[in-house]
Amino acid sequence: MEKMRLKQSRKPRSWLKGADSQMKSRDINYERTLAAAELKQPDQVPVELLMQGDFISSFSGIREREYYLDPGKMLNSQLAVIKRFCKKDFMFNVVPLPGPDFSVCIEASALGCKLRWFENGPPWPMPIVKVASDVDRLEVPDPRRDGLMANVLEIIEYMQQKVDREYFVGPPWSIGAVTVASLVRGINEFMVDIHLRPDMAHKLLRICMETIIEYLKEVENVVGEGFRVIIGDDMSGFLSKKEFETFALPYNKQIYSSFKYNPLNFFHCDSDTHQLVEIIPELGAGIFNMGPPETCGIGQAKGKVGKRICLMGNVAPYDVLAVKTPLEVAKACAEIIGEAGEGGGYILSTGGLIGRGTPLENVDALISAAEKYGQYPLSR
Amino acid sequence: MRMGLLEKLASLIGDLADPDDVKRVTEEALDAGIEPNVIVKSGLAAGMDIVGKKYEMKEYFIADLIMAATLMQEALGIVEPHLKGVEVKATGRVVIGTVKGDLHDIGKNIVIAMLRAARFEVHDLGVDVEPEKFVRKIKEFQPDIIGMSALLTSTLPEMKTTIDAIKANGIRDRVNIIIGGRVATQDYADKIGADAYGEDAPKAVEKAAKLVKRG
Repeated sequence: MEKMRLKQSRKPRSWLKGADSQMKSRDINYERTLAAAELKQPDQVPVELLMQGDFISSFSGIREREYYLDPGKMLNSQLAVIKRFCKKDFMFNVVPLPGPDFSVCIEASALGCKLRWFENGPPWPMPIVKVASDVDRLEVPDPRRDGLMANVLEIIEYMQQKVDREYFVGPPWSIGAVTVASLVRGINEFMVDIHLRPDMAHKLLRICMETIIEYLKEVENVVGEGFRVIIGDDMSGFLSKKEFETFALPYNKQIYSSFKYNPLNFFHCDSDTHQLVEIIPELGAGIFNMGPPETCGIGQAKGKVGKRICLMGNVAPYDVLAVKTPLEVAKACAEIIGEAGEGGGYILSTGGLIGRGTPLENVDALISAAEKYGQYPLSR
Repeated sequence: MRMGLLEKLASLIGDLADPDDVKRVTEEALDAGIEPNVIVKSGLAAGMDIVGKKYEMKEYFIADLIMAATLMQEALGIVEPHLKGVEVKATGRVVIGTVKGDLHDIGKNIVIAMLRAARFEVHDLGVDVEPEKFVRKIKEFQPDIIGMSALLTSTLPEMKTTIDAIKANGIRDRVNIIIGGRVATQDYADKIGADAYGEDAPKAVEKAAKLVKRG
């Protein structure tokens, strides 16, 4: 990896104590999100903007590679996005901005995967497990030393210093056990392992899970109060319910249970989850960010698990947000709020990340739709 | 005996059986004198049809499609040497790849297995394929269809760049273009002038067959 332009520094973070409680007193979206996550009914449906380097770098007019490799540019572009879309008392995101962002590469890089960097796209890890015996050679990495984990911890501290108390610098996305295993092994290969070499798959999953837990413990130390477990495990949506119960649930569940429960603990999977939705609450997350309607209808999810986990998402990031008019975006959001908002426990958001090129007025339309159609009690 | 072996082969693939069993029955079918093209059509393709239907019925998921594609490739590896010199009319010829800057190939590989099962001749260009390579391969293979895949919003525009390169070389009217992948949509296919959008692997194969029929 290229050397990052970053000065390492350690400073006491006692001032971070209470970061979320400060926010609590000033941020309406935090209050609404927390209520929804606790399956209560807030005064209005909260909103979450799911964005990473893809959208954020293009918004700021920089190449995506610069965004990932220069923490200053990463922070400035994230702040520019916050200033464009969020008001002073309305900036809370479950997946925090600002925060470090290396797409899906953090855990895999620490396990030894080399990264392929692109000029204007996210980096991608190259698999390192070619044969079963390679798994035996894998070791749980040291988050303070290995791969991008060390960079993440430094970047959190760097961002904390830069923004002082104005923003809460949060934990980045972690990648769930199935996806880390798929990246380290190769996606096709790992899916075949599940069918043909389940023992090898379990062994690899165990190492991935321990890697994620050890890494998140360090992230928690650096982030301080306000830490929450944010996991995206898209590849787990490739599995049947039975396979998910065997290969995804136990490992991801152990990750969540290794930390103090926070209703804002977040699980994301924007692959198919129609087959999985009934068991998603067993993971131990408070919020489930589901994909667009073709992966699972939100009405179906609300009926099955709406009383057990807060639902977030389902607005199609590509079919709707990226290509429709603001009026059409508002209509789609109104329909989803109508299906999922009743009684609370729903956060309006996209079913996956907002993509580059998405018209800014469509993001505005999503935020406004919560205000226009999401006031409780909902009008029918 | 013939039908028994072919049905068994189809059912092994349809049930995502052990690859060793699939390979054994494929060899038994060849040993029994069944023509290799019949093995492909009534054994392997029939098995992939079962898989496709189970996927559409939401009994199978992506991991199952990947497994089925693996079984198909294993069996084809045994049958293909016997197809040399046999006059088999392919459904059509496809050149397929993941566009420049994108390394994702799960969907593409599933589509390839299903295309081969549907007796398409497929030339896989792999991942991170430059527009110029698509152009060169169109000239080389004279395909009926070009398939392009992308997973990232950052690489999606490469589909348009590739179509523009095909147009600039004056060969757009020689090929039908199908796009697919997580970030592709019907709207985008229309916008960039693709002929079809494959929302999933079975649909992509269905549309490829229609486009070839249409000519």
